[in-house]
Amino acid sequence: MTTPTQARSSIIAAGVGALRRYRAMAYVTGVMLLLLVVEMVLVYGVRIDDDAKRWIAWIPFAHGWIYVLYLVTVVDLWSKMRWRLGRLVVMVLGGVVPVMSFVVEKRVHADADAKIAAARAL
Amino acid sequence: MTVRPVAVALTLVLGLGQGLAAAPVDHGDGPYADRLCGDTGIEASLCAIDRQVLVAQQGQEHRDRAIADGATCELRSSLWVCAGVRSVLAQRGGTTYGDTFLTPVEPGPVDPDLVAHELEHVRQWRLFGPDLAVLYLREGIDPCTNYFEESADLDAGGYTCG
Repeated sequence: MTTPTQARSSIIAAGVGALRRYRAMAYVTGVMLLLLVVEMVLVYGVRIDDDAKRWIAWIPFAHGWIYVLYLVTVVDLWSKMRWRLGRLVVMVLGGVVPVMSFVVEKRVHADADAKIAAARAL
Repeated sequence: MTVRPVAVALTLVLGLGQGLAAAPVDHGDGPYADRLCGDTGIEASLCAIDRQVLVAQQGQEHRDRAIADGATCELRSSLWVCAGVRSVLAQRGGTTYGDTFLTPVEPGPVDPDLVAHELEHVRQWRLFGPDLAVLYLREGIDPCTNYFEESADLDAGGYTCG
């Protein structure tokens, strides 16, 4: 038998875990997105030759899969925090617009912390 | 084999640097373009890292053997030169394996043009990998008609062709 107190603390623990995973992926995705910008500038702007292109060809590939992992953590945290749909859209875009993930992470982190603190105070 | 992220990152940065440096010959337009690593996707990067590492290992092995046989090896403008190599491996005025140039000549100054020529061979090893040995021999032992010697500049290599 789980008591209401135990149930609440496990829900809070799940929220804390989701926030930690989201934060880690937000930073990794943000850094990869900046690397992707550098890669695109070199390939499409500077037009480096194939010899040089090979060494950064892993970046678009890695960014694509890391973004998928980021989306998983986004949906997880968003559903656990019971936020509105607009917040999900902003979090998804955070991994697409350069630097935006850092800004969004700051806001999301603060809101999630407040929500977790409120749940603990119940 | 353990993967060391720092070593991989360093290889990527150094490789990109080499790639960005002025490339005298574009092998992507040459007859062996299909033997190069691809240029998109993670396979391209892994293939390039692999060949880079193999070239370093190959050069190291040849230097170790040359030193054991009494030759002297030193780094000259980013080319390892082993002088005084008495081995069938040091063909003609010298032969480059990976990043190491083995020459039967006694230690002394090395012509800068020759160094530039051999550095293009090092670049060829890095681009084509260990298969370069096979591709080179397929081109024939006559340097004047050998694609890899031609693209490394025959004059600089000390070859006189008609």
